[in-house]
Amino acid sequence: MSFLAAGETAAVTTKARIFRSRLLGREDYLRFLECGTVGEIASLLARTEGYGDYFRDRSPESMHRGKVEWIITFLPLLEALPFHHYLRGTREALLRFWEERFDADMIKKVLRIIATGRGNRELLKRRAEFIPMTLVDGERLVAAATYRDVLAALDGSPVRRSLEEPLRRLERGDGNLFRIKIVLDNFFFTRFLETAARLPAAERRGVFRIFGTRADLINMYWIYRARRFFSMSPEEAMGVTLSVRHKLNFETLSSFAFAPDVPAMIGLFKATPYGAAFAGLGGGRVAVDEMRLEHNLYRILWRAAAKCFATGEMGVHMVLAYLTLKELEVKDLFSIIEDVRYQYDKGTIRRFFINPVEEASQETERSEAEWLSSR
Amino acid sequence: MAVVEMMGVSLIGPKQEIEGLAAELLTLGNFQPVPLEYALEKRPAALERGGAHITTFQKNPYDDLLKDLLALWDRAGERLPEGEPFEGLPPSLSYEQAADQVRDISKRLALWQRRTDELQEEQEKLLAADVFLDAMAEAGRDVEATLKTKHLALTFGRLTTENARRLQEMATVTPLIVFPVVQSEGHTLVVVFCSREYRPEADNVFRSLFLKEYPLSQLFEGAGADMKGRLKDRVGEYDRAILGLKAAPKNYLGRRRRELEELYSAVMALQRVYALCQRRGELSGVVVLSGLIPAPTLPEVASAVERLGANTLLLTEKEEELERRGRQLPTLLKNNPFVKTFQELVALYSLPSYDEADPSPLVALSFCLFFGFMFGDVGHGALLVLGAWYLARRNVLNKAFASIIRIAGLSAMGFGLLYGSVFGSEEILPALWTSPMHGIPHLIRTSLVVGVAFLSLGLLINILGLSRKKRFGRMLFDGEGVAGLLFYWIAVLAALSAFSGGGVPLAAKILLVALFLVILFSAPLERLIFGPQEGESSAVVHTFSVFHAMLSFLSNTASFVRLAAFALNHAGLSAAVFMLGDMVHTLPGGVLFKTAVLIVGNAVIVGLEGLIVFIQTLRLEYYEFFSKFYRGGGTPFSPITWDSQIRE
Repeated sequence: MSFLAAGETAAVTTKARIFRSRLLGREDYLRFLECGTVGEIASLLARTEGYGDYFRDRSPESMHRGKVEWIITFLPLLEALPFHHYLRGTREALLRFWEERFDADMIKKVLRIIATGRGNRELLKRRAEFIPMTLVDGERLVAAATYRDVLAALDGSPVRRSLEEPLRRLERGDGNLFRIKIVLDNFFFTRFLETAARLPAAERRGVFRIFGTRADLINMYWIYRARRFFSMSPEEAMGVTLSVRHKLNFETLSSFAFAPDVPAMIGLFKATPYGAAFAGLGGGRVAVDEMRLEHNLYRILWRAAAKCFATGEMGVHMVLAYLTLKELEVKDLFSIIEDVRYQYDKGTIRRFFINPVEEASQETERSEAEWLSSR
Repeated sequence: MAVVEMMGVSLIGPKQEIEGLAAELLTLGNFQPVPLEYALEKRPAALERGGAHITTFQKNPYDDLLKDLLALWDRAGERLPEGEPFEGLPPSLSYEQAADQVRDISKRLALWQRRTDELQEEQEKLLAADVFLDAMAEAGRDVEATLKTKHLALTFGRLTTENARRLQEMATVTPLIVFPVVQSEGHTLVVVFCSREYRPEADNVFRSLFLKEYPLSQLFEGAGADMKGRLKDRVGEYDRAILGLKAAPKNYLGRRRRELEELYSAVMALQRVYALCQRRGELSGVVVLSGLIPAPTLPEVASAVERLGANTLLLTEKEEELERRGRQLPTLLKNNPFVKTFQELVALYSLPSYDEADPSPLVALSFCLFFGFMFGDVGHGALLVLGAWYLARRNVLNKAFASIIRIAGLSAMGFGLLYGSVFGSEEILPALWTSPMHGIPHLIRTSLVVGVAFLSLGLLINILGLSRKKRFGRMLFDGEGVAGLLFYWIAVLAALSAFSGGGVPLAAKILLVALFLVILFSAPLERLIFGPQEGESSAVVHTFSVFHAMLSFLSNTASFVRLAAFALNHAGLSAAVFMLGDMVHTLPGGVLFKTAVLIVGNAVIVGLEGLIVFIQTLRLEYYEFFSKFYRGGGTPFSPITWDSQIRE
């Protein structure tokens, strides 16, 4: 590692560790559970180190849910920006590609508005002005009224090639937004992990530990959903997987997709390194299965990211690990806001936090059913 | 010193008059619009009570029109019309009329684009078929026989190379046979075979991988023997049609240039007018337009209202009233051209806030003094002047920065005369003052005197500023107030006395202790005499800041020794270049080597040392001088003018 690279990695690792120390702790989570309104949650966030700067001077106590969600959604992206000052070359590109996931989300949101005619374009416009997009011409994208306009906004962007045919099909009424999501995910993971492959060994391992795991989990999840809920053929199920893989290669994924039935497929899942996520699946109610599975998958990702901080390594993967933890924390905050909004049972929701602040003890079918019945 | 006084104005009148006035304000270029609430909020006027009924706006309706119109020039591949947009009264073109015309143009552009896309799509099919024919010929297969097989289904199509790889992967677990034909620009053309029974399942795979299928049987049906020739003819026809459609915007613009340029000018003018009126308020056809203007330009605005707004009311609000309502006013600096050059350096640190003195004149003088002192050399100074002129001409340096370097070069030349130094040689010119190599003690003494003078000046400006803000407690007792200044002067005199062997007089010691105590207890003293004040820091922070201030008197003064140190450094480096030159002079071809050493050495001195001295000068300005009185944090006054951002 060159002297300059050592400086780069040391600087970003130190910053990432400092940022990580500002993540919410067990006590914070418990305090959030005591909140009765979104305003109280925002006020509490204003008093934390990790969120305070974004909530102070905005009268958090009277904040609307949409506003709170808007701020916390883009917070990981905002926190990624200062790291650019320290990084160069592949590391900097990697961080930029990570940020472009948010641009990809914007593309999905605009397409959803075009497809359904519903959604807040003004909010998207504000986002585009707030943090300029690099993957796509933000102004043109937000103004796009048709799929063709979206394609025009993608002129010169590397994602255009991947989206060209899917968008043309959408325009002809052949296709759906789910396919677009797959294409965008594929684009992100392929570019991201191909770039990560150019990093020195330790950093590469770190990035694959998080994003390789993420790709594997997505592949398993989509095969599972394709077979269980969408009644797709094995070929179609394989078609919705990502082209990048980490621990689960093409043959393994094919064996899942071509399994004779869903229970057999779940049996195969359980034999993989991610088998724990699928434990107890298939027997109970579908909704319970879905929620538990999603939670378990995120929990695996959380552990993969947290593990990076235990290695004592330095590198851009530490930044990505921190940002992943922050993103998952934001997901937990969304759960807390939902909890306040729909008055869920707090005792149960705490066991479904991604951050293992309170390890689930014995999850009984009864308590889950209670929670679901209160939705 | 040169912060221009600002004032608030509100124009209330009929929409048409306000539009005319807005155009006039764009020409005057002195109006920074503010949201309506800025003008109405916290005002005990009747307007506030009516405020709730006033409609306010956030969007400029002409932004989209202009953008759509610009697409025509863009698609025609032509530059936008030269010259200023319409100036004066806004054109008598309503928004609806402008929107109709622009919409008509947009429709045409969209139609041409759609037709082009369709033709390109068809052409792409033909080109793919051509590739297929080549592949079949290479494999020695008959095209029609291949397409009409009984049990095999053939699919020919295009997909991204990434998806082509996945299709090949899928072929390992499905009954598909995949042949990539050609790969270009991230896409791959493939031929896929499967049994006719498996075709529906294969279609699912193709759909999920976004394979774009080219239906070959339709293309080749009835094509006869010369398939390739026919394909070529059709591709040529499409080529011509596509070229015609691509030229359509240019032809359209050519045919109606005058009319379209007038429309562009009108929309552009209205876009600017509404950029200024964007945050206006409207109540039953009456428009309220509020903004800030430099106070000296009020007569121009009033005259415009008199000329163009017979029914328009002009309300003004002075800076004190605005500040009383908690409004932070923007900063506009006004200086002579010489001082204006150095405004950039001040802005680089931070623009003065509205109620702060502009340090630009002092920076202009001190920058010349510091830079010249450290880099005094007639030859090197002249090179700086020439270099800055050349780089500015080549657009490598921006105008303001080049001016600063030119002035710094002139100052270096001036000090070069005082030092008698030309390209480091002190033999050519007689020194008018002293030579750095021979007058070191003299230079150090002078640099310290300059330091004491500048720090005192900084403290004096701070005292004046505090007095203007009526912070008399801080002005009298603070470490950077009167007590601090007296402490500093007495400490300097005491140090002088000590260094000249006279020791420190007892009276000086007593005064220093007394003043230190006053500074240390400045906060309670201020509270006692002048009552509680805003922005008081805690006792711990205050104690540390007092010690810091006292120590900084010493460190800041010592810092000015760098003036002498860099002057000596410059002379030393120049001498080293000459010595190196003399050393290589004795080698074979020595004259050439010596010339090269002298040229490279002097280039290094001008480039590298020039940069270091520049940075040291900035350091003295920003850290030693500014820290005594300057806070900054101002926002620039940004009037809206005719200069269009879109065109820029």
